[in-house]
Amino acid sequence: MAEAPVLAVRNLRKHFVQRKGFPNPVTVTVRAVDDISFAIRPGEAFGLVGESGCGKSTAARALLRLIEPDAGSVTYRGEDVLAARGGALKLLRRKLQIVFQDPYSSLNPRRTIAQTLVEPMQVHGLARGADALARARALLDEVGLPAAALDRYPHEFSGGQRQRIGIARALAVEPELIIADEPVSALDVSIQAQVLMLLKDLQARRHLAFLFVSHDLGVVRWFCQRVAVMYLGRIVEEGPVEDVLHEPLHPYARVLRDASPVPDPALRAALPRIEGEIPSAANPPAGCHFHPRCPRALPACRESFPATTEPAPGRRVACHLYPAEDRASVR
Amino acid sequence: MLALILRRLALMIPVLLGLLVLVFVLTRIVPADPAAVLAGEQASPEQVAAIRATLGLDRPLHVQFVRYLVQVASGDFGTSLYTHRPVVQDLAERMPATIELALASMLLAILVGIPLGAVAAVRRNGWLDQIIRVFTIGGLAVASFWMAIMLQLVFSMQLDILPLRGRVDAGVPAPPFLTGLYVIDYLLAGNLALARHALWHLVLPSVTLALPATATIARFTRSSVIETLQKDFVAWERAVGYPRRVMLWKYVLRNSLSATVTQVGLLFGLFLSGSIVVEAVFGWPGLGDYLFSAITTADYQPVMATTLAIGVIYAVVNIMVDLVQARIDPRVAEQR
Amino acid sequence: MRRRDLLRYSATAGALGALAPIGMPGFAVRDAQAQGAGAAALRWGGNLSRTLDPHTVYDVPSAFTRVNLYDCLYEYAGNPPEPKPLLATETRSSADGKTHDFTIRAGVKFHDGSELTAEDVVYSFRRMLALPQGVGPAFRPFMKAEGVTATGRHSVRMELQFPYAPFFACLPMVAIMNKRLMEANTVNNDWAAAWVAGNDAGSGPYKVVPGSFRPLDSLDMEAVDGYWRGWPHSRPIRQVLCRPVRDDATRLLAVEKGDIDSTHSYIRPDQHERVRRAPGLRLVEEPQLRTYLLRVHNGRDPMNNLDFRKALSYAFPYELFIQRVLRGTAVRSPGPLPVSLWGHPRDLQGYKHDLDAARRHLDAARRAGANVTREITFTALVGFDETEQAAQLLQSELRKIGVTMRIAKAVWANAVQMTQREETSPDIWSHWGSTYYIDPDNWVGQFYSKAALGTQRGSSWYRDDETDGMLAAARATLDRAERQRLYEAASRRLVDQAVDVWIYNGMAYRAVRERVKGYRPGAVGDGLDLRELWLEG
Ligand SMILES: Nc1ncnc2c1ncn2[C@@H]1O[C@H](COP(=O)(O)OP(=O)(O)O)[C@@H](O)[C@H]1O
Ligand SMILES: [Mg+2]
Repeated sequence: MAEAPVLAVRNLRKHFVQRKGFPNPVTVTVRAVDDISFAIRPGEAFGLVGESGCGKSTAARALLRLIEPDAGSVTYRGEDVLAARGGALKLLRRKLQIVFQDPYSSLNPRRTIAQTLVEPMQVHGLARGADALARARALLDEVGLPAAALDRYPHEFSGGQRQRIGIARALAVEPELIIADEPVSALDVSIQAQVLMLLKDLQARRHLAFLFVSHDLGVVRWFCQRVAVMYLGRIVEEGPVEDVLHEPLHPYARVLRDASPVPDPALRAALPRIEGEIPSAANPPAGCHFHPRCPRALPACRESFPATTEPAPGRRVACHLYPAEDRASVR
Repeated sequence: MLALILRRLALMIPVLLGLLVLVFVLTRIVPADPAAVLAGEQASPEQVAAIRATLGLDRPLHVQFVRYLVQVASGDFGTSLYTHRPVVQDLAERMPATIELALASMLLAILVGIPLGAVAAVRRNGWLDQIIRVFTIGGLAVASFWMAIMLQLVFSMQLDILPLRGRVDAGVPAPPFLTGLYVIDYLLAGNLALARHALWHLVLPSVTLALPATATIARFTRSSVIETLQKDFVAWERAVGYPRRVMLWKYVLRNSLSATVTQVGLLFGLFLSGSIVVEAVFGWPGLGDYLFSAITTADYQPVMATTLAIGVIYAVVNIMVDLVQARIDPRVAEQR
Repeated sequence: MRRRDLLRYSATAGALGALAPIGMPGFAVRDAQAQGAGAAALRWGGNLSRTLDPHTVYDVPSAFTRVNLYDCLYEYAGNPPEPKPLLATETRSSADGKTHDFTIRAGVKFHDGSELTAEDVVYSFRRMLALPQGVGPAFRPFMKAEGVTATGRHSVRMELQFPYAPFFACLPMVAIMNKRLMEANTVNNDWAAAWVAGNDAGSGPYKVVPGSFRPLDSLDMEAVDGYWRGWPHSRPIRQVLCRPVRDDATRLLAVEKGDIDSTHSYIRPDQHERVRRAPGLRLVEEPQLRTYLLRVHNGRDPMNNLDFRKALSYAFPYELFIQRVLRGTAVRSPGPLPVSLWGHPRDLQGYKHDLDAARRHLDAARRAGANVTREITFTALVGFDETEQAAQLLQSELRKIGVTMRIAKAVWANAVQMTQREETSPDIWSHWGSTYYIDPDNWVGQFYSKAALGTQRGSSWYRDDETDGMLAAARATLDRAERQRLYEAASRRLVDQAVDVWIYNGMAYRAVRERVKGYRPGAVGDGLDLRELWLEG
């Protein structure tokens, strides 16, 4: 491709092993993230969509090493994120920032906004003292909050305002890529659009790359250039957002698209409803995980998980409907 | 802040009044005749009746209560029928002993309980956590009189490194009264040796008293630290590269202490009630001992006044807890 | 006083500070003991009363301070103890037994140095009579304040309302107080009760270290130089530190460790072996006149039936109780009086445990129409396990003969309340007959006279003119032989009528450290004479 990816994720895996039950505990393995791969180019907004519980947050956290992944590789501008330590890791963590879903849990309730914004600058040696405060003030301005907010505590702000503070905090260390884990789904619908606007604005102004995690196709269509669709820990389809939404290849992506017809994010309220039970990631169906709900399931779907193929340039899909050799079967 | 304190103090009055009514009714409905006990076995029914009349016990209950309120309102807590001393004087001698013991126990419980809980949370499900869990379950299950005797046997009788009982040894003079807390008063008097002497006497009783509280605090701290550790801001602080130690002790713990601090206020009640047993076993001349002997002889004035004193201590401690709470948690400060 | 405290404090503290090595608590403790108290101090671990006022309480611990801080007109001496003159040098009684003239010993000094005179004796008796509690109730039935007068600097006359033979036995109850000192400390006509509760106004061998008394908790006493009776041993105990131990387990540990030199006198039978074996300790057996008896409500069906009461008396397993529950630490007492006291018939057999006899009497009671099927109630005292154990034994024996008995529990104050009215008084309960004054009247007269009805002493609700007459006559005459005859006759009659179930005469046990020498139990309560003691080593 034209430009080298800023972030490349290859075969990232995170399984949660739990022992449950008394007196005879049973070991349960939740394959939250199961060998996913994708790449994000500089300045690109990359969407990760899927139903709740499919492993989006786990993927986001694992690639930041907020939880240690079990396998796979993550490279940031060619540098191995998973192997980094000391100063190198510190720098990586500056360059990769995260904005969380829940604005009530993401800010330390005992720190003022000034402390919240200044401390990361100090930790990373970007600024201190009056200089840091001035930067903090500028950051607040950038996210649309008054400077008076500096001396306040998080509980004095609304959810939307807190999310703005969370964004300012992420910006404080001058990152290159922001991982936004459902940044607006906890907010009131009326607020969601404003925060999305702000993010879009920042992306343009600061030339930020985004990993934009969402369960909402409409939002992704509006915000992202490319998108990956996840189902039970795996990426089932990936490609340019317009293509994927206009003409989904994977039956699951189609179902997801059909369930979210309204393109305007400001009007989006309900989660996509999909027929059938969502199977558990702890006990996924054999073969293609989606086959019990799939309207076009083949006998092979029960047998094995499909390999990922590239039926069209820039588009990848993991489905038995698209065997590796047979590119012609694209409708 | 001052307004907060004043408001809480004002709120205390109806609570204490309610407490007084309760204790008053309780002491009077118990079918024990203080006049008969006071008169002794040699007394005739007429003599008992005469005593009852002088004590005003022959009056209707509400009259007695109003009289008592008037008396208390004028600062008079009555006189013990047996010691013939103003109850206030008895309390002044005994209250500091109880407070010293309770404070020492509270300090111990906090200083041990919080780190234990935090370590257990950080090492969640590890062997350290298991050991601490055994300790906390044990600490709550063990009867304090049994614990007291075990500690005495080991540390006083076998090893002979800690005193068996009392605030000081027989013949060691009490310090000049300043705070009433011996350790502090000896220190203020500049006598390090006796301050240490008093401190050693404090060890076994306060350990006994602190044990269940330590266990409770450890449990509360553990669960709230675990809860805090799951908060996104902790993940973020970690991601941004805050030093782990600073994060844990400065941010995580501070965010987790709300529940624990509230618990400490409630636990102070446990200290006060537990002190009855502990004071008896360790010959600690405090309120528990005093209340016990007053109840067994139906000596109403000390019973009422002691209950009131304990109520005041409890309420004051809980107000202090609220203030601490407000200091460590901006949200609480805001609400008031 | 404040200054003196401070001096004392800093002297001790200084000595300690110089000796205590840093960081070694064990040494600090021992140094404190050696330096602070002085090894020559007796650390008395017997109970302390709530007040030092010798008139307003009369219980086991108060005897300790009454006897050692004060002198009385009479004291108890000999074995079994009899009242003997102490401050009185001569006593003359009128033929009718109502007027008694005492000559008071000259030259006796109070602790403040003033001389003890007839005025002090008069003051003390009037005070005792005026106060509603403690000693007074024992005197008030037969004595008025106006009846006590000084007839000279060293002579006192006491006129009784009626002849009352136990009068002399009662005299050791009345401590003689320093009138001048007492009046100086009187507030609001309180007879100096507030002041003397924490101070002493006596002439006894020891005096209170000012400010050292804390009710129930601690008291320091010092020997009085030149005490008029002198000091029998060349190195008597100069300093007594009273440090009672409330808790049973801690008390034994404290005396084993040497923190205290003696315990109170209620060492439980199951702890005797441990005390005997402990090095440096000995178990002192103190014979008691105290009796233990079950009180039976003679006024209520079916206990108002003689045969039913006899069935109760035959049903109680006396030997089992004494051997098992008390581990043999008591002697069987078949009648209302202590077995060692005069007035108790030496040949009195009383009742034995005999269920066949019990059945026979139960049948007789049934035939006579007594409601023997009614469930009767035994009210045991909370905190006194023995009463509950007695109740359980009786319950299981009664079950064997077909009588159902329920066990209820009450605290002492509650039980006292119940016994004030015949309707509320328990079917059966039990208590100890403690020694107030050593005279048969203390037991048999106090419990079975009609005057006792309405108090816990009269809780048998026993109304018998003949017994009442004998007891009254025994009070009225000073003729000792005649009194003995009357008490023996009354005892037999009470036993024949199976009024109560009399069980035992107790023994008290005290753990005392070997270094305490010359220890001799007091006649009443903890009233030992500390002058006789010395410390070895
Ligand atoms: N710490 C954890 N321990 C065990 N299971 C977890 C943990 N975190 C997430 N999971 C499980 O992993 C799966 C994916 O969760 P998550 O990544 O939060 O999904 P999403 O963000 O897409 O809603 C879910 O089944 C969830 O229950
Ligand atoms: Mg999520």
